[in-house]
Amino acid sequence: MRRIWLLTVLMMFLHGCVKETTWTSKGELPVKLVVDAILTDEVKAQAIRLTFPVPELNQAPEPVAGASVLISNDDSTWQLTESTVKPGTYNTPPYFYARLQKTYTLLISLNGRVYSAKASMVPGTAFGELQYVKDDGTGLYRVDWVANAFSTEEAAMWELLVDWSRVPGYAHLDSLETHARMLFYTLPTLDVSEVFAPMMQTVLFPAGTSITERRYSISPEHAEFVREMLMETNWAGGLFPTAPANVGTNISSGAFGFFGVCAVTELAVVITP
Amino acid sequence: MLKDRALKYLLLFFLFIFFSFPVQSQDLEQKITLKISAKPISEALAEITRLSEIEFSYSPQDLPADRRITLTARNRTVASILDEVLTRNGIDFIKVEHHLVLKPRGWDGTAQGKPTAEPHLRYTLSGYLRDKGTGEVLIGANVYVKGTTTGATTNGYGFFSLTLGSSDYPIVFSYMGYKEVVRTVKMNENIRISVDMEENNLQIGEVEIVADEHPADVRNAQMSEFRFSQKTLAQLPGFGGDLDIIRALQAVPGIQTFGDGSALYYVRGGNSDQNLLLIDEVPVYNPSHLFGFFSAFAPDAINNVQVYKGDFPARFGGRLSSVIDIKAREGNMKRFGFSGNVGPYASNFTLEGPVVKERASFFISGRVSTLNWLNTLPTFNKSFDFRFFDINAKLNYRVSDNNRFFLTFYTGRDVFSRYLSTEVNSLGINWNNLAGTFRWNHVFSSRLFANTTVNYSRYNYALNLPQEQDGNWNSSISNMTFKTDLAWYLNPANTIRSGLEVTCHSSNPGNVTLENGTKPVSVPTVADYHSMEYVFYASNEHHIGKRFSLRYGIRLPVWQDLGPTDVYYFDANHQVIDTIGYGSGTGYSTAFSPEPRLNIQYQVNERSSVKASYSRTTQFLQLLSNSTSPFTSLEVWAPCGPNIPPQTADQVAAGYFREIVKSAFVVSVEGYYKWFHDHLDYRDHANLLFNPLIEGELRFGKAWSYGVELMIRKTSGKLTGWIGYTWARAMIKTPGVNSGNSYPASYDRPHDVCVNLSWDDKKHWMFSANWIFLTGGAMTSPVGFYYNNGSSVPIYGDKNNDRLPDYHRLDLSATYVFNKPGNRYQHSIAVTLYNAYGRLNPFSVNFNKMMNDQGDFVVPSNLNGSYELIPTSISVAGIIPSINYQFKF
Repeated sequence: MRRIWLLTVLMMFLHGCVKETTWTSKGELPVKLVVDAILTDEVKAQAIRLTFPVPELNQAPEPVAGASVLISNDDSTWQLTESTVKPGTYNTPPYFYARLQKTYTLLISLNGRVYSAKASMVPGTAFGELQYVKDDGTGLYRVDWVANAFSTEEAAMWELLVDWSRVPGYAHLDSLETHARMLFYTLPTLDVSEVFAPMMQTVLFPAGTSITERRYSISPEHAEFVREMLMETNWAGGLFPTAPANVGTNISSGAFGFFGVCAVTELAVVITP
Repeated sequence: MLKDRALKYLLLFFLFIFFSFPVQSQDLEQKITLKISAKPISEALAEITRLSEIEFSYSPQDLPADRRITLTARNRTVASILDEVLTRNGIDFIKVEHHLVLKPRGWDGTAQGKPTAEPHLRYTLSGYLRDKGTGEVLIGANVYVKGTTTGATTNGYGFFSLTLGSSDYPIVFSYMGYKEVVRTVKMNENIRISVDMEENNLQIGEVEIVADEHPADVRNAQMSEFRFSQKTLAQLPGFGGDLDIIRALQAVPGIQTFGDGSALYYVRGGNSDQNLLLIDEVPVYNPSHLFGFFSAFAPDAINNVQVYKGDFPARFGGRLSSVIDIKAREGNMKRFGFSGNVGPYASNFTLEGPVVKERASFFISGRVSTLNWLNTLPTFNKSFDFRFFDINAKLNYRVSDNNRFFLTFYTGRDVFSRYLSTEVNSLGINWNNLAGTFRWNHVFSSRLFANTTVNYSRYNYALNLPQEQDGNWNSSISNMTFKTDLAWYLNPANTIRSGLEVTCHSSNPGNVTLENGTKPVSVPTVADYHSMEYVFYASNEHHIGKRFSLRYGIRLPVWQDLGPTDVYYFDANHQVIDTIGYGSGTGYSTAFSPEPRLNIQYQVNERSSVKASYSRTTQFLQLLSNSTSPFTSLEVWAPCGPNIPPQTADQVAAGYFREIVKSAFVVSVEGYYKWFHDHLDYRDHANLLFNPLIEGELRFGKAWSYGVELMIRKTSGKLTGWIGYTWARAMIKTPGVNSGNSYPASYDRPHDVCVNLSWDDKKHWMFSANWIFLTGGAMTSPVGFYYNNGSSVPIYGDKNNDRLPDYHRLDLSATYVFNKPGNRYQHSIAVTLYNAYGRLNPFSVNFNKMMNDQGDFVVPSNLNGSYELIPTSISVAGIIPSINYQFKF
């Protein structure tokens, strides 16, 4: 009897929680350029993606074609070329890499309008390996800790490229089912919404998975952009949300997005039982 | 310069007071028309009073007041009518201030004459009104001369003072819920009296239970006010079966709740930090438990609650929008008692009794959460730890008729921890309130009452940082206050109140402290704030004739910020341009903001009145928070200073109040308009934690609100309660926010309906229902999305361009009293349903979650490939039932 009572009460409590809802836009979407641009100190062709916003949730972004994209520093200027296979993606020359103590300028010309942004790199640092734990229910593994979320000294973005496509028993699966890309952040700020952020998706992978752990050093300005973006994405929808607002940008002329220059350091980790 | 201005204001104020003292409103030459047919002289005099506003003082034993007369007068002077009514019946009269004192002809004013008193003298009846059963004082009780409107009301300490001409008077002592007491008092000297009043419904089933609100708000000059007693609160269905003052407030027109489980409330378009909540005169900064599900005061500890939404008496200040003045119970002076309320979520127990019978008593009430059984359920899997407790205690000692001491203590603490997959990721917050008051009531004379208070209040908030940081983020605010309030009952027409107050404020706006008590070098230190506040206030409640009353006053607060601190100065772009260090005790910023208050009442007739008021309020201390959560979250309090101007508000209000079916129904209509100056706002995504430059995150603009509140209350009978409707708007305009355009505040909820009804069968059963409807709060919803590094980021148009779904909720409760009437031991069981029909009232709508394989909504963390986001809403509570057992002996 007591158990029935407890479960009844529990069900009633749980009735109030997260539910699917309907939504219709209550305003006009501005036609603005969206810039997704991170340059690194890795020697490779690096990509900048230009899109337009979309009015509907889950709608594929509309790529921006025909833009003229330039990157320059005190010494050189690079003209980016538009990818023929990935519309809206503009690539640097193959041997491009960003350097410390240089200020990079991004210049985009589109339909007679010029957008610009400046960014510089902060040094990268070595780091310790991530921690993972075995999931009790499935016997698979999941990432438990990557880095401290708060540090006033070393802001960073952590990218985990998880690959279990070569693990026996998984090799036959589609690439999307055997790869994961996850992002974690270390920021010099702490926010109310961060403290009790909503639950994140749990990514499970088997023993033998290889993880490339990449650390991107980010400037204070970049860290502020990341913070604001997280407030509108990963941290939104918790018990302590903050007032929503458009994420700031360092792009001129009213564009969305950010132009950042990062130093990248990386580690390779293999999941062992 | 400041001093000169202050002196100027003081001088102007005193000139105003002195030059506006009593005026002779009576006019014996005024013409009236009346017809009296074979009625006693006393009735004829009452009719003349009604028509002319001239009042008579006389001793019925000394005059032929029962002699019947017949008189027809059409448009005749009062003097000629009195000549016919009085002189021809052997009665003389003399004019003494507002009254005509009647005496038998030939009386020479000496002891040889028939009258036993001296009619040209005035004497004062003063004293306390108390509950006969417990000895506790009765607040807001009425004392008046029977058959007239001449009277007084007991103050917050149960004291009254009434000055009358020399004569015999039938004095009525009345208080809703208590049996009326009538005593004949011979006013030939100053008289001190204490009246013990018997509760009307001590024995359920024998007498009618009446609601406790004072239908006298038709006759009371104060407007924008609501009053609860413990009895009224007990009739409202509270959360989890607990009597709940915060949730009760939310059922009052003009006061709007944030939503389910929230202790946040908004009064007449003001933000939630603009409400001052006092318990025995000491401010409590966070009146909630469990994020707001429970209010912080143990139910049994509350004696009386007075709510001011506007028309603030001059003695109150420091917040812009409301004052909740809670008086704690004092404890039974006559016998020991023990009571309790045992429920599934919290239980409380109270012990009270005399320390020295009839002279000193104590009261102690404690409450503790009993929620943790939920955590043992498989779904929670011991992932949470939530608990709270509070203790209210009070001692009072009646040293003599003229001196009384009170000592009040309150403390409460909350702990909430969330254990994630490992200890490394455990998070937790806890907060606690500590408050204490020492008060001394002193009666200097029958007309001069003083209350002197020393109080202390502290509120701490702590966030347990993840284990690797090995520390806590703490913020705190505290104040120490010394104040004296004087009430001078100058004469029946004038009551002057004044006071002085000195407060020392300090706050820690948030810093990290390691487990070893030190501050980490790597984390920026945010300097503590230290401030002093000095306040002088004075007001006069002035009755002009029978129909008009005027209350005017001024409050003069001075605020000074003190070092040690480093003050950052910002340019127009909110960038730091200078930093100046100030040593300990060095003043670096001063603010002075006079606050005039004015109230006018016109008594249309016995059953209706019109009132209007203006009040200016100033808020020097603000809560910095851009949270849109219904729960109290990480809180930073900051005083005004070089970068934060004090917020001020001007409110005008007017209302019409009417009784329908003598005292059974009271209908009121109030309209208001309120202007907020230097209204606090924030830049987008303001960073308010760990930020030494926190003041640079703030923006200041203006706000305004307006509305109309309708209310009908039934105050007696088996069925009591009220129905209220409010139409109101609250708008904000801040340079640099929302492109400088005005926008609705998140708490702008134009339509608000509240229905609160209780039905008592006078035997064993009591049923209560509370239904609230609110327009959904304003929210900012996206107009589109863009993608950045794999994440879908919302794009917003105008701020607060959308609304949450409408909020409505029904709470029900049923109480069955087991014992027979008259039993000393009383016990009952109460069944409560919070949100009885399970309405989901969302407090936020989000666009960042997907559904995982288990059917839960989670934020995607695998950004490889695509995922489908689903718009989701978050609500707090479904149906929450409770069964409580209550006992008292």
